Amino acid sequence: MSKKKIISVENLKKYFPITKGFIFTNVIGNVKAVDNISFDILEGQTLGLVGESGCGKSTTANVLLGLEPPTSGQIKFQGEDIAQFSKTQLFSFRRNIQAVFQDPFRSLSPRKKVKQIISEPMSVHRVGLREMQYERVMELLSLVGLSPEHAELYPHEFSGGQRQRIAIARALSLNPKTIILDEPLSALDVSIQAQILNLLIDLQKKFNLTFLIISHDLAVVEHISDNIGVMYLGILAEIAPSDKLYSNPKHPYTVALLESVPIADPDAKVEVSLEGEVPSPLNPPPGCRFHPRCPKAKAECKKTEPEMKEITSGHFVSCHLY
Amino acid sequence: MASQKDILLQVKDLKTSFFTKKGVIKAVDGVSFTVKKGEVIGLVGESGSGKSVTSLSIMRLVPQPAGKIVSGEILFKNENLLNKSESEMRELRGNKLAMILQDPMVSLNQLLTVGYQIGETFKYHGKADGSLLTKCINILKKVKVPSPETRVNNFPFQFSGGMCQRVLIGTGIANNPELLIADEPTTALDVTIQAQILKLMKDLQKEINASIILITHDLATIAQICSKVYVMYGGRIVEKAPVKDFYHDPQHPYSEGLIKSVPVLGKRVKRLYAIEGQPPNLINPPPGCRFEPRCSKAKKVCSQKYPPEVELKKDHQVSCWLYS
Ligand SMILES: Nc1ncnc2c1ncn2[C@@H]1O[C@H](COP(=O)(O)OP(=O)(O)OP(=O)(O)O)[C@@H](O)[C@H]1O
Ligand SMILES: Nc1ncnc2c1ncn2[C@@H]1O[C@H](COP(=O)(O)OP(=O)(O)O)[C@@H](O)[C@H]1O
Ligand code: SF4
Ligand code: SF4
Ligand SMILES: [Mg+2]
Ligand SMILES: [Mg+2]
Repeated sequence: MSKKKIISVENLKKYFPITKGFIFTNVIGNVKAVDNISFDILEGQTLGLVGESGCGKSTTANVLLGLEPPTSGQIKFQGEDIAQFSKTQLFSFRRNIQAVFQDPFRSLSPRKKVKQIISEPMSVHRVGLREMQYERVMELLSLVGLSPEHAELYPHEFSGGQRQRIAIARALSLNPKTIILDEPLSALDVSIQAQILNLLIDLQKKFNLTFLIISHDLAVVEHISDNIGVMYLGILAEIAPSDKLYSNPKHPYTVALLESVPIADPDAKVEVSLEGEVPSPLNPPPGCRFHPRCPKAKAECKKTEPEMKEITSGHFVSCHLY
Repeated sequence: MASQKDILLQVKDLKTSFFTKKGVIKAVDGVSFTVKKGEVIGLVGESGSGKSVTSLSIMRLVPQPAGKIVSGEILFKNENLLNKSESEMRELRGNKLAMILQDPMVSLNQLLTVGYQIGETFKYHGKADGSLLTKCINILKKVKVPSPETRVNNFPFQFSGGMCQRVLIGTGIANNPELLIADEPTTALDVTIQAQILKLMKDLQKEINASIILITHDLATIAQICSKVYVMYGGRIVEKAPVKDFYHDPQHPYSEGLIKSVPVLGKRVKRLYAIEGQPPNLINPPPGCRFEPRCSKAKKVCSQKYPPEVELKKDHQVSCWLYS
């Protein structure tokens, strides 16, 4: 059975202008945070996005969430371009796409009680009467493994893991189809990370949720994702089903990234496989933007930017070697 | 037992608390361990378990006025650091005892050039003879900052996170310390840069033969460069083990759970093992084992009395009632 595409991103670009001057501001350049990426997310599945800091993962998430307008390109929700949506369609789209962010300490308003935090999206979208909202809060608390008395407490009275549970409950409150998770585990301890990861997987099964998860921890992403996209300096270097990406990475950057992951085993020593630092997205190298660090770079790589090619079913790579 | 002259640092029953309006936070509550010359020790534990406070206590840099070392001894080369005057401590810090902090962007002064900040460490310790600039450039070379001759005049904001961390490591090792404490030196960095920094630390450690205490919650980092692991939980050390024993045969239920809960790349499992429950509250901790509320193997005695440390074999000790 082929699954439905729930979100399609086509040739998405997001540039941030860099300006100079106070009164007469001139645009002197663009940070090409996201520079022409395309991918699909299938209903009920998880797409993981990985890549070094500043490569554009969060920007992609923010554009999908409507927090930033795209510079160009299309975002389709269930096959329809969201730019063409009417007000009511847009409103329902927003209901269906919710988010959980990295820092549970900052993403919850400190002056609100947990019950207010969790019911906030319901109030914004005018869903249900107050009593019904309260019932829903109780239901959500138990879904994420918290108890009813937690409803009356403030965020600072919780540990990091518990706060992330609150954020997940809030994201679930409107029964969204999709949840975007931007580094949801990075602020948590190892023993708590496993709890939250298990919770996310359980909730996904239960409600047929679609996830886009962003993380710098490749093992975490592998654990939860059906497909994984590897970003580098604003582009998608490679996107493939998880098992293929890990067992048979094609892009030299993916290969290096996988080799650099420290392994929790004293018998396995990690090699330094990538020298040099990530170049600035203000001025990405010409041609393939990975070429200054790429061990396999050819003359062609310095001149022309490789295009995304599907090398086996569902496995896409942007590299002149293929 | 190690002979006395191999031992560089010996911490004995250290207790450090924070006296706050909410009560006394027993951040470090009876910690003892030794570090031998040239040894790389990994100190692991969840956030709030007392790792940083332990290291700040060794440096005598516990935040004032709330924080206070309540009791214990910290013997560095057989001298109790707790009896030293502030000026004697200043003499040691950045010299024989050095520390690298968690966040490179915060630890470096954004308004001073990188070269100036490295230079300070030399000047302070009276080693500013002649060619200070050359020395700074040499440090940048040592930590592999590209084009050190021009970079020495840059400000920290002109450096990436990885390069700032290199500079900090550079200032840390500038005076060939005997003990280097590194608190989460790679946590804020990307995996590719992490691998570079770990390699650098490993190489430098060999070169200057320093002892290192590496603090992290990342088990993979520990596996890469440490020879021994000390596991902290709720202000105490619950297990001390050679690195291989720790990963292949952990004895304390918390260590065991910790290792099982890390997802392993390329070895996807249906469901991750997770230690249920929340980390302990360090205000009025219960008298027994701090891990008891989350432990699946807990017995009656566990909630009543703190378990004594027992030696299972050479260099492998554990504090848990399952073993005594
Ligand atoms: N300045 C302070 N004032 C009050 N309490 C403090 C202070 N610094 C630390 N603590 C408390 O001491 C305990 C141990 O803190 P510590 O910073 O050593 O933990 P850690 O293991 O290093 O955690 P992390 O991994 O988050 O850095 C915690 O309960 C913390 O809240
Ligand atoms: N509001 C903004 N203004 C200017 N540059 C930005 C802004 N937001 C992000 N960027 C830049 O875009 C790039 C990608 O950022 P981001 O998507 O946040 O990276 P990631 O999440 O992968 O760490 C970075 O170089 C970042 O500095
Ligand atoms: S296109 Fe060339 S430089 Fe880029 S990753 Fe492929 S081989 Fe390397
Ligand atoms: S002392 Fe008891 S509660 Fe603590 S870890 Fe051992 S068995 Fe578990
Ligand atoms: Mg981000
Ligand atoms: Mg700390």
